[in-house]
Amino acid sequence: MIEVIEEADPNCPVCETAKRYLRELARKHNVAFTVRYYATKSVASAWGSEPITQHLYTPEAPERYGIKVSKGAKEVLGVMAQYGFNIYPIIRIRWGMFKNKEIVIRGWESDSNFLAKLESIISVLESIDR
Amino acid sequence: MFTEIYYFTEALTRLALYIHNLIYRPPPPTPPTPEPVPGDYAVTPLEVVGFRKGTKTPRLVVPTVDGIGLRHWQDVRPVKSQGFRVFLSAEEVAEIPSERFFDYIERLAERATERGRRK
Repeated sequence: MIEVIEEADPNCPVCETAKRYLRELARKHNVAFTVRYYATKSVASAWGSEPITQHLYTPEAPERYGIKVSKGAKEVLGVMAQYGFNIYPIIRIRWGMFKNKEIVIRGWESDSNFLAKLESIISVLESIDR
Repeated sequence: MFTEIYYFTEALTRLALYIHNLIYRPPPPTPPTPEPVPGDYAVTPLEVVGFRKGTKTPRLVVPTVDGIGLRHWQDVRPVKSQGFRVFLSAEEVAEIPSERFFDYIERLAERATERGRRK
């Protein structure tokens, strides 16, 4: 059971191209595919739901990765967390019986190497089939 | 007379069978494909350094290695029921060298969940 979820911003054009590509990929490999819209202007933000990588842009994040930053940078990160800054699209590829195994990819590249790698990820997961 | 005909026909059928076997030989048996061994990896496995203190959930810290293509320190976060979540950027995904990367990640995550239970 493989599932592909795209967390997108309704106003971002790159998310639209990613959606088209992923939809074709899902149709080709017979994989479930859904799009969830998260951003400051989306309906989901009004209900308080957050994308999966929201914890990456917080003042505590650099400490978690062992990076020392200045006080000003932490303030900026705090503002980013307040306004829900994130990189879109976020592609979540989940597999396993309970879909508890997950690869989260932030951002998108129109490079053919990246697209081929995405397809190879799904084909490899199909072969594993857990 | 009948016995001669019988032997003659039998000889003919045997000859026909022989020629048939000569022409239509069965294909040679294909050698069995070797199954992948779980310990066999194209890239050398990394060493797990340990957990970072001061966080709510146990986090596995993995050092950087050029062969893997992870440039920064990655954290593999164990989630419920032996699951895990790996965070990667698009650039890092483009740099993944081998397809066995997933087996490797899964192995790391299994180790992480084991350590989390012990703690």
